Amino acid sequence: MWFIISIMAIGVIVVPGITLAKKLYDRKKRLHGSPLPTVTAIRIFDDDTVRDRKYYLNIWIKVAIIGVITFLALYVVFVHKWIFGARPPKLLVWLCAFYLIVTYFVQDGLAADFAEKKGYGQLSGALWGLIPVYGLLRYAKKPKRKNVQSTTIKKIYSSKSLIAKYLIFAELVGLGIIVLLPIIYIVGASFAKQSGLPTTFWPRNLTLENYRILFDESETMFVHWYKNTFFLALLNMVFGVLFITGAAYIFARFKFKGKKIGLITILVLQVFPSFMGMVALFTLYQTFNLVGRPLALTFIYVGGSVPFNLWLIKGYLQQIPRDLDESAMLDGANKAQIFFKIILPLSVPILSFVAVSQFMAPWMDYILPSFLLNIVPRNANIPAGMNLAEYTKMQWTLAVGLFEFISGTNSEYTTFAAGAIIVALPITVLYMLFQRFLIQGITAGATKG
Amino acid sequence: MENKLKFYQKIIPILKAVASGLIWGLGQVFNRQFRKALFFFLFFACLVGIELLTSRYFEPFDAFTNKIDGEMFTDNIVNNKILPYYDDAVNNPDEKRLYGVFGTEDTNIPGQKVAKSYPSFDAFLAEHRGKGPITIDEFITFVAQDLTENNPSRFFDVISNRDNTTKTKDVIYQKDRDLSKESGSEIIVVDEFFRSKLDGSVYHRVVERVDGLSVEHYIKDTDRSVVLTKEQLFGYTTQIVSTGTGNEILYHKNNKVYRRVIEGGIYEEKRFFVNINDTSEKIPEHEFYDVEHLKKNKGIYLKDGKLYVEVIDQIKTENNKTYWSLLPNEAGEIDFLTAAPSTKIDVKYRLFKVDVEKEDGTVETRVYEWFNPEAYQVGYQTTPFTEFIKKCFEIIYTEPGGNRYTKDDYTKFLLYIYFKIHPEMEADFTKRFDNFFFDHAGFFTKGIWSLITLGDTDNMEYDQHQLIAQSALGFKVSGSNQWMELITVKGHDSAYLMIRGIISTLLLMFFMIIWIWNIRDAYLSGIHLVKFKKRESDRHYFKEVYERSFEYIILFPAIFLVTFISIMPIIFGFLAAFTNYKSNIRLFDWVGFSNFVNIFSFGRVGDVTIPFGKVFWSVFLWTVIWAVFSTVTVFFGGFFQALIINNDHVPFKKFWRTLLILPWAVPAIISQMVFNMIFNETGVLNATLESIGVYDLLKNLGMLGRNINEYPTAFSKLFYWGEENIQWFHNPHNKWFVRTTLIVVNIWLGFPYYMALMSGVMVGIDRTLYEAAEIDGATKKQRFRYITFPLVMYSTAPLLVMSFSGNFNNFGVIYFITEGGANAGSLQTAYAGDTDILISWMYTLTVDQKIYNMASVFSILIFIVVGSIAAWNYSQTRAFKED
Repeated sequence: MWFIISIMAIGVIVVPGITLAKKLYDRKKRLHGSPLPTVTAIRIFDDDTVRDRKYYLNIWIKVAIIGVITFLALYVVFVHKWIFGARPPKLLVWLCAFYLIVTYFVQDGLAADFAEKKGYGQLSGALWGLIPVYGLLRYAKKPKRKNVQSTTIKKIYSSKSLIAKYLIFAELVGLGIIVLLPIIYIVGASFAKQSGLPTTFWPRNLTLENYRILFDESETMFVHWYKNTFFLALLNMVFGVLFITGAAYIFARFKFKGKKIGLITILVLQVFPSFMGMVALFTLYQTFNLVGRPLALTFIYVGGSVPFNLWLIKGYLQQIPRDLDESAMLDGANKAQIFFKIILPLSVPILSFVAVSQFMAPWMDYILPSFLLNIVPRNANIPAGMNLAEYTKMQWTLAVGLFEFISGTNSEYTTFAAGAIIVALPITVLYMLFQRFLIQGITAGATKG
Repeated sequence: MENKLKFYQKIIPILKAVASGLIWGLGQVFNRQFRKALFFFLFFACLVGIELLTSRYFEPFDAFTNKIDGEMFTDNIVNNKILPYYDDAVNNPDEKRLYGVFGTEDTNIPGQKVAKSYPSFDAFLAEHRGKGPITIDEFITFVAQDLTENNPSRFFDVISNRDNTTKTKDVIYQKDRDLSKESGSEIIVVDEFFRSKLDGSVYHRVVERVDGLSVEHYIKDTDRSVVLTKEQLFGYTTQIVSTGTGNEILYHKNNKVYRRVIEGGIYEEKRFFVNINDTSEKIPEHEFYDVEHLKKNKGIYLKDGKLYVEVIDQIKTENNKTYWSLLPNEAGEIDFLTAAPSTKIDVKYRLFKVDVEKEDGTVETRVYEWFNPEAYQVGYQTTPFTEFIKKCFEIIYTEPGGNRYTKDDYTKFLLYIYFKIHPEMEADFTKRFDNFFFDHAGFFTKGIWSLITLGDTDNMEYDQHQLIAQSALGFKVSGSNQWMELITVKGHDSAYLMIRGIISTLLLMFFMIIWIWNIRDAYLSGIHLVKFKKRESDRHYFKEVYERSFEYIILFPAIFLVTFISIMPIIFGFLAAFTNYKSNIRLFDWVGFSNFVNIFSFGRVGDVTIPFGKVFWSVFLWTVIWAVFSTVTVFFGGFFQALIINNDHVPFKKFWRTLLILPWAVPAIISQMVFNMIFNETGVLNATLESIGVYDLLKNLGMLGRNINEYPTAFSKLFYWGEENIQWFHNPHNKWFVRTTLIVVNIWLGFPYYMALMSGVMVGIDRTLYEAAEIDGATKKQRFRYITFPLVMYSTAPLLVMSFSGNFNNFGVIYFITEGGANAGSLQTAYAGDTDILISWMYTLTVDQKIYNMASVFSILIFIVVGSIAAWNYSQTRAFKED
């Protein structure tokens, strides 16, 4: 323990102290001549006037204050006993830890600024600044590449700038923690050993039991839900793209009677809440004996996505210049050929976006499956040994099944957590990788109308 | 060169158009365009074909045969089985099972008997001789007649008929004199009443619902204006005091205070009233009250020629039976016996008192029981002929190959007999279940009828056939139950009819388009013919059609799908708002605008206890507030965050952006459910806060851990955060706390998207703008206000509107995180919880409570709000203006 503290103490107090001593020594040498060999002084600051001395002192005071507080914070965080014997209160420990992280980023920012002002580029400064305190010192040694005033450099350490940095990084780090906490919690919960609601952010006993339960068919129907949802998503993707593309092309390119009406109808259709027609769809499905079959939901998803996707693809196709069409027509292509050979290849980006969003849709839909999948179809063949309730559960999709885990009286939170992780992980990774692309796509759909 | 056609020249084309209107393709035939004629005629054939093929215009249809489960017995049964069996029963001594079933009579030879026949059946057979085989209809009519004749409704003397199985002595027939219609003649033998010990008067109890609570009144029999409460009648007053563990009732009587005490186990309960000041004073319950709670239940006894009814005291547990005479004695009083008389009489139905004149001229009052074959307790008694039929069926059942008849078939047989006994019922049945439109009309006609009337007939249940079951069929034929107790005949299902109506109307509209095309084409071709004396070739025409309506042809599959998947349900939902469709009512009706009127007049709909009108507006208000606040906080939260990330102070912008975009990357539904877990009352957030010490802080501030009664004013209630734990989302008393928490949580979910978006926009802003501004001397604040802010807003402000309408309908956040909030599912709030917005409320109404019509009304209103916003937004976009 003391070892770590001493290292930190060195880093925070001793190093600046040494440099200060060296500087004073050099100054003295310059003024009074030196018997010692001339060492390439650590030239922190270039100008050396009386006014600057006060300024330097200012900066050193700030550094010292920050250093002391940091030291105390380190002590609180890493030492298990107050000098008074008991453990420090949790709140204080966390505050100190928070402060440490923020300070770490602040000094990184300072190093970045330092490097940038000197002309070495912000990025390299930031990278070196990741090592505590070293970054600052490294760039202090290096000569200036740009022609900047020293006051500019000193302004980096001004109170205003420091406070601004502290606030900004406090906000960023705080928000980062808030963003990460639920995720850490749920990941932890999925490994938790208890069955009730986990009450700490990271469980004490870790186990893989929850994951095993999910794949055990006798306990939950998770595998079936995953299968149902996956195939539903696949069908949705294929048919969604197939149906809409032709229609979107027509709307994008041709003027025909009823086009405006058609567009307005499509807009209007988008607005209706999905379950205004739920009762009707339910009765309709019951007539054709389609309730309780997850794949029959495809009709509704595809039909319901027609308005939005039509809009999206139409908007994109409108941006393809008409000159292409016209030149093709001059070359003797008929309408169908233009569509298949020219338009389709060009619209691959938007079509893939539509395909992806159609694929995503069933994973996250709760209302429709919960309403339509709770009944067993008339001529279903129920495997032997299974009662009706279990068979019904087998037909659910993921959203319905997962919500079942946490709602109601018989809630299994840890199993839910494991299921949530399995479902969310691929989607999250996909979204993170393609974020720019996806945001553009959604925005295009929203802003164009 | 325009040739204007004179009117007379147009007549022929008009005629051709009319001809096309009647029979599609006919006008084209006159125009000598045969391929076109064929094309249109095919559609016409389709239309008519569908209509006819799905109809029953030309088939005979018998509602009874088709709508009731089971096979009707055929004529063969009558002619090949029953008639021969009858013959056997009368004439064939070898047929031991049947011979003599109608009774035997002596012959000349002593010891030998010959079978009697059944005279009325003989007459029936004689009448039908020579008219061909007897149909099942005629046979059953005979059986019905037989039953009716032998079971006349009558009143018989109880005492003199008590050993007589057919009850034929001292009888008054209902057709001669109907005792049930004479007031004051009925003797009540099933009754629960209260007899005051003070004056012997009898009171009956009446229960009413006032303001949702049940209230009891006791009305005196002889003077109906005297109405007492329970306390007045029973002779005590109650007082409720609160003790440490709850409330207790104390009884005040005669200036003393008592407490009710129960001793003994379940089977030997003894109840006492104990004086709280003097516990030795224990009064048994039945002595404490000033009334006797008595009950008569049809226990009739005979002693010394008089009839007595058993009266049971409901309060006493032992020795609680007395016997009251049915008729008052000469002095006009009722006799009481305390011991049970020996003879019990089995009384099935109602009793009346009749004054009978005896032979010696005196008038005696006697008790007569009503034999009413239409009463469930009584039923039709068997006749010799029905006994014969029973035996026939037994034989049929046991013969090889004969027992294929099932429960349904026998039930149908019984019901048929019953319909013949009551022809008016049969007529009613036919009227209900043989509806021209529902049962005979084709797809399109039926569809239009469905939409107009939404069905007329509800399901009917028949159980009257049980009255004749014992007599006509009463033996084991096919298992333990030989007939069904209840026959359900399916009527019209309004929801199903409405959907069919909408589908057929939409389909009809498609055909109408072709019809109109057809007429126009005939007219135009006719005009063309007149003008140019030359007709267009068919091939050329079709090619032109293909070119001209290439768009329509390609669009057709999508339009078709959209119509039936999207538009049909929406129309259904829309129309449902004008009906009274709720929770599986099978038959509902159009009610016009009354649902809307109820909402806008803050009133209550239908059920007096569900205040939809009032609740709607409060939910609507919260929805609007929620939409506004959630949009604005998320938007500006994202903006703020983008500013911070794009600040010069921050080196690793991409890292921070990637980190902070995580909430957007995690599927919304999952994170909502996770928040549900975290903010649970016993969840991790509360546990952490408690361990930090926030709980103590809140307790000191008085925001936690106190009883709700300690917060008097509504304002102070805002500080009530929970009882034992902080109730983030289920706080029943502090609505706004919950709602605020929800808005704050929503920021977590929504800001990353806007942050990323605005970051992108900000990065794209030209650097030179900033440099120019800096040269001109603008401060940081001014640079933000005049450059960054306007540019970002210009690009993203349209999103505000879309986001508003999206949040207006944001189901997931409300439902998964809060499940409606506290007070969800309670009647007083019309099933809306504290945090419910319109759409989640609608979901609860639709799925849990199944009040579909109100849910549809709300969805229409939502649509009006959100739709108009969307329409306005759309009209502002460049895309619309360019189009």
